[in-house]
Amino acid sequence: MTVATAYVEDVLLVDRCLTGEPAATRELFRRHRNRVHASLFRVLGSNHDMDDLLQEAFSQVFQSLRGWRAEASLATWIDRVSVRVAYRYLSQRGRRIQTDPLIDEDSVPGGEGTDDRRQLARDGVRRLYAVLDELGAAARLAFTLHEIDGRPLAEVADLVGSTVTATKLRVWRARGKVEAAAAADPVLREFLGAHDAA
Amino acid sequence: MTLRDRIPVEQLDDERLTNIERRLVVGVSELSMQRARRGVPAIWLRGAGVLAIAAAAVLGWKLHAVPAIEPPAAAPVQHFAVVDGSRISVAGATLAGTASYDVMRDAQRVVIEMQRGKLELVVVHDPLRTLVIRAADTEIEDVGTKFRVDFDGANEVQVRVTEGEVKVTRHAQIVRVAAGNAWTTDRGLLALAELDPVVVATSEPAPAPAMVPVPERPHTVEVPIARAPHHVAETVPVGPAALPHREPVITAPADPYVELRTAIRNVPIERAPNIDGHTDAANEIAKLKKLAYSTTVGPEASQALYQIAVLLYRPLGQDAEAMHTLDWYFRRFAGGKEMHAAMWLRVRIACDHSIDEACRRAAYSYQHDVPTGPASDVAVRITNAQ
Repeated sequence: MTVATAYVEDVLLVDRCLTGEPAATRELFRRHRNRVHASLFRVLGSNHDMDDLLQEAFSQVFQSLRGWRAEASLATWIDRVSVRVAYRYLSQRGRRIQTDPLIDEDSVPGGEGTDDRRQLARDGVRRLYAVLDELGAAARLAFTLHEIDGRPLAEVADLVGSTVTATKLRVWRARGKVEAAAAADPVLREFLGAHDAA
Repeated sequence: MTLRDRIPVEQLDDERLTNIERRLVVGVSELSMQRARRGVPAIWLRGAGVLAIAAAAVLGWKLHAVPAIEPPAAAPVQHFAVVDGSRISVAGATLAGTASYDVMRDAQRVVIEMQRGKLELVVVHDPLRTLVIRAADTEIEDVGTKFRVDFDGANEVQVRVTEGEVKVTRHAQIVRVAAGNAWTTDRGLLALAELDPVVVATSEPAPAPAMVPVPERPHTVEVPIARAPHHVAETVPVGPAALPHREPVITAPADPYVELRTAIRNVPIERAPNIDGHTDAANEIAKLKKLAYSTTVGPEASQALYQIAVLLYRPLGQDAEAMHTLDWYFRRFAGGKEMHAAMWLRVRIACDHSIDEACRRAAYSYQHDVPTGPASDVAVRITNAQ
C-alpha cells in the first residue's frame, strides 16, 4: 500500500466513522490499537488500568475526529491524543504507577538464557520503571517515547506538544537520573549494562 | 543507554480488546445520539422564539395608531395596487411601497406576484407558511426578514435585504441573499452598498394602474390567510395617491459592516476559467465529483473538489454543503495548490451572513496562513472587527 493510498483510506475511514457507522469504528480501532497499546505500555510499564486508558484514548479520538484536518497522518494524530491521555493519567496518579512483574518470561530479552538471566531482566525492568515513577509526567513521557519506544526526538516533541530542545533536555535529565540510580543499584546497572552490551 | 525494543509489551488478550471495542462502539453511537438530541431543543427554542416574535409583531400591529380598514373577504387571489404611505398586512408580512401585485394564498403558502413597482416587506418568518414574491421569472422566498423588491414590469428585478435572509430563485438557480446584500437580475449577488440608489430611482415604474379612491391619509389593510377557495381575482384598490411622497415605511438599519462586507466581496473567489456555473451548476458538479471522489490525490482531484465548493456556494447558494466540501478538501488536500483559495472561500462563506465568531475564526486562519496580500488585509480587518 502506498503512502497516498493509505492516506486516502484513512480519509475515507474517518468519513465513515463520522457518519456513526459501527463497522468503521471497529475498523479504526483495530487498525491502531496495537500501536497505541504498545506505546502506552512502554510509557507506563504495565497493563494496569490499560483497558481504561485504551478506551479513554480511543473515546477521545472518536469525539475529536471531526477536528482531524489531515494535516498530520491519522496515526500520528491518534498517537498525539494517546500521549495526552497518558500525560493526564500520569499527572493525576502522581508518580506512583503500579508496575506489573513481567508475565511472559520467554519474551524477555535474554529469555532463552538461564533462569538467572531471565530473573535479571525481570528485576531490571521493574527497577527501571521504579526510577521512572519518580520522574514528572513530561519527563517520563519524553524519556519512554524516545529511549524505549524508539521515536525520534522531533516526533516526541510533536507528540507532547513541546520544542525539540525542551524534549531533549527532559530526556537528558531523565537519563541522568536513571544512570544515577543504576550507579547505586547493581541489578539495574547490570540490566542496563547487559543491554548496552547487547 | 538504548532500550529500544528491549521492553517486551505484554499483549492484552482478545477478550479485553473485544470488551474495549464493544464499549467504544456503544459510546460512539451514544455520542451520535446525544448530538442528534442536542439539535432537538435548539429547533424547539427557535420555533418558540419565532412564535414569540410573531405574537409581538401581531400585537404591535394591532396597537398601531393608524386605523385599520376592514379586510376584504378572504380569497385565494386578490389584486392590490398601492402607492407610498399605504401598508398592507398579509399573513404575517407587512407590504409597503408603490406596486401592483396579486396575492395568492393557501394555508401553507402565500405568493405575491408583482406586476411592477417597489415593494418593501417586513416578514415575520413562519415555518408553517412560505412567503414568496414572484417578479417575472424570479422568485424571492423570505427566510424571516426585512427586504425590498424593485421590479420594472419586464425583466429587471432588484432585491435588497436589510435584515435576515431571502432565497432568490431564477432559472432553477438558487441564491441566498443575506442582510447587507442585494441581488439583481443583471449583476447577481452583491453588497447592498454596491447598489447605487440612483439606479433604483431611475427604474421608477410607471404609476400603477387602477389607482382609485384616495383616502384622507395612509392606512393599513389587514388580510387574513385565505380559507375559502371561492373568490377569484378580487381587486382591492387602496392608497393615498394624491399625498406627497413619504419616506418608505421601512428604513434599513445602519449596517456597521457595510464597508467591510464590500471589501470582502471585492476580493474575488478563484474559479477555474473553464467552469461557468451559470448554465447548469448541478451538471458541472456531477462531472467534477467523478474526478474529486476518485481514489487519486492528484491535482485534478483537489481542483475538482475546490470547484465543487465554489459552485455550491455560488450560484447554488448551498452554504452548508459548500462548507462541508471545504472541510473535506482541507482533510484530503492539506497543502493543495488551491489551499489559499479554499481558505478564502471559507472566509467568504463564513462572513456572508454576519461578521461573527465563525467568520473571525476563518479570517484569522487565513491571515495566519497567508500573511500578505489584499485578501489577507481584509482578513485582518475582519479579525479586528468589533
